[in-house]
Amino acid sequence: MNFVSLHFLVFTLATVLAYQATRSVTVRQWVLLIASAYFISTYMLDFKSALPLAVFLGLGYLLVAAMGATPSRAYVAAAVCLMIGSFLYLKQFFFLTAVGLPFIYSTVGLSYVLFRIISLIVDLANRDIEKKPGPGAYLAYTCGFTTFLSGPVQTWPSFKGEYEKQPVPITEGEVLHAMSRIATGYFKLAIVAAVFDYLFQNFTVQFTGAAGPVSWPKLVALYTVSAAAYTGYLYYNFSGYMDIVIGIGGLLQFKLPENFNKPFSAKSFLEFWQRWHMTMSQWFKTYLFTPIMLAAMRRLPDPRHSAAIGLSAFFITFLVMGIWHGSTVVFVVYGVLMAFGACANKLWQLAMPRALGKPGYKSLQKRLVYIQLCKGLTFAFFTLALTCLWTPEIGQLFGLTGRLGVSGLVLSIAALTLVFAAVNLVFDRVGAIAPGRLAAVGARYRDTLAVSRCAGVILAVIFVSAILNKAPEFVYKAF
Amino acid sequence: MVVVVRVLLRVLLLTAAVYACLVGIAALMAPGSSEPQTVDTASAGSTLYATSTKYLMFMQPALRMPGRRVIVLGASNADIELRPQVLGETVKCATIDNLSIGNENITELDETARIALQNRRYAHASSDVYVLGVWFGLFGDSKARWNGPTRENNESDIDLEFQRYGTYKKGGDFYESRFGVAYEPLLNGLVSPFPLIEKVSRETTKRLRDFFFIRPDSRTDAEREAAVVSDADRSAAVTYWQRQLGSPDRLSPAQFDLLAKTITMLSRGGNKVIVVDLPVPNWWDAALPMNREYKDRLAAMERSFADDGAVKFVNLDRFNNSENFSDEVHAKPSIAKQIGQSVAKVINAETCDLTRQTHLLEGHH
Repeated sequence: MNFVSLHFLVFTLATVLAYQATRSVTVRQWVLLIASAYFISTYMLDFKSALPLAVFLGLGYLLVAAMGATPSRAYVAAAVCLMIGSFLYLKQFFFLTAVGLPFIYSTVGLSYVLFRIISLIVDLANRDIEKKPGPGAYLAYTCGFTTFLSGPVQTWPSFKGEYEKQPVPITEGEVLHAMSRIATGYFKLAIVAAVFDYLFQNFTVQFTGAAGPVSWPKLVALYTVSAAAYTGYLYYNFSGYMDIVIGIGGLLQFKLPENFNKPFSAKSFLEFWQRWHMTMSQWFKTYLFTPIMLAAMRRLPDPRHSAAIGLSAFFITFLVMGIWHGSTVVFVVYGVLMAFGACANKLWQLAMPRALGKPGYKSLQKRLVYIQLCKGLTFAFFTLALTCLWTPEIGQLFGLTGRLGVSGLVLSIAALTLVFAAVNLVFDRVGAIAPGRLAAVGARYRDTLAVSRCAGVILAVIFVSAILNKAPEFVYKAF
Repeated sequence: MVVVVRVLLRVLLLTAAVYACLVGIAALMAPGSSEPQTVDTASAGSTLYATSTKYLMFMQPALRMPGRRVIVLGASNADIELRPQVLGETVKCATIDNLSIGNENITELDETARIALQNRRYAHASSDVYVLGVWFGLFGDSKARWNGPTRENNESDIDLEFQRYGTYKKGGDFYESRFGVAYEPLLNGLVSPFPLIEKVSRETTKRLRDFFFIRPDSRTDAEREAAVVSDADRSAAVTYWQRQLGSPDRLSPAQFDLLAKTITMLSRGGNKVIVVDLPVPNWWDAALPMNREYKDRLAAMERSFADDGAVKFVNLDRFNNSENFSDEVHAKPSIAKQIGQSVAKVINAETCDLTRQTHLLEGHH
């Protein structure tokens, strides 16, 4: 089901109205379950194509249900490995392509179902969750239609609180707030991201096979603007989707966690990942980074090893996070780049205080030029690493980087850093002036503005989709 | 639930009100009934409709006006070399319409022909003249010519335009208005804000798009007249057309079969068809085998229509000198005018003169 379709709008409206028509918790839970089942069914070709997901969910439930009050570490490890193994098999990672299932099936949402099942298993083992979920709650948690495709990855306690709370009548303010959020999401997804996609397509076509050879300077320039356009596309597409599902959650009075917090205002790569796809980063921190750190520190308690342990944990976490994005070899390169970025950032943070002294480093961190360059470099590195996401074949990626050469890549990263730093500086200055004055006007006409914004976005989405001749797809559901 | 419905209704009402205003503005900007009721796709850019295909779709009612028509079909070289103004200087017995669409193949030419024929049927016309300007660049397979993310079924530009707003549906051979021809103006009026918004967005981003993406041929007539095509230009043109045609050395036989069907379709019921073999620079003969293949296949087609008095083939090889062209396919303005005048004489001989003779004979009897 495309998010920019009448089908999705009617589905959402019907679900919201059915949900709000009752004050019964049980009926609301059933509405959510039925809506989620219908939503997921639209991604399935037939009954058979849904079987792998059903088996995956069933296996997860059995593993959760079979857990004793104090499960052994071996059971937990085996259960997690079994789920990850099933996931790798169903997603057909590049080293498992020879043993795939003999029919076409859907893997949409599988990554996020895996996240939730693992967190249930581990949290139950750690006694962070007191009571196991029943089958209905388990399905609603793992397959809720608002979070099924790409998160946000909600923790079980947070989900349970929303799922079981007593209904209260929704207010007009809540409806307007939620609809404004949905409108913002559609504006990002169907207009801003679509325009970035249009730019990306029109730039890349000029240096990929169809257009014939181009000179090296032109290639570097075209590659740089293409990469920047793709980053814009991915961000607005993904964060727009998040705004939509969080807004729908608002109409269902179901609070979902935020997933983005101005990621491009991050002053370092590590900070960036605290602002981009935050719930996934938090998941990896909780269930991979921290356990690695704790396990390694137990074995090597000497404080002299702590930096090396930290770097290793960062490397593994970011490598896995990168590889998780896709099943081909290109994503291993992406993972290595992510890991390299995280480790280089950590090393910088360790080396600079030694080189400049703590006061010197703190002083440097307050300098405007340094701040903007750090933001620019973070954007530039992430943008270049994202090349892996738009060159799906490893040969294609190496071919492109080979044509660019080291000097081309360095030139590209330098250009992206400087341009982003300059643009960001302007936005920072404008942003510091504008909101105060606009906020006063906005508060006075809040309801009217919300209604106008929704109407404007509806028209704009229809026009842009018709002009560009395609309804934009949500890109992250492929990961 | 009531709160949700109430807010939703407010949003929908405001949306409808703004949309209604846009319909009104678009109606004011659309070509009105006081304007000439002919179609010239070359003028699309200066109208609300911006592109040739959009212009053609919205201007269909102009093709339904009564009276005899000479309808030019073809690609950009037909547009330049068979200008309505030039043809009209000689051809006085009919109105000239130009339905050429740049960079098309025979599949799209056939679609354009169907649009023309379908609309002329509404006018009960039976003595129109269809002038088909062809050259080897039109004979590329649709799979090579029409591909990309929005063309899963190799839809042409015309297909995309007719599918864009949902106001047309496939019916019989071609698209027809969803609720019948009587409601076509109403439906087109309702969707008119779309071309309006597109026009505004095109105009406001034109410079940026020209700079980054599109390299339009913005040469003046004087510059085109003085142009000299270099070896590098020729080499680039060969590569470009091999990609466009989807083959390094072969044309699509299916496209020739389709052209024959198009000619047959157009020539039924009293219409005439003039197939003009538009000239290309003679360096193509050495550069690619396709021009030879095209000439051979067109000659075979001409022989197959030899007994059909409604179909005439016109050869313009005398203009093939490479110096006559400002690029790999388009004639220089002075030569384009001569080509147009030559074709106009043929049209005149086949239509106006014959009509006059028929009238004289009828008068004599």
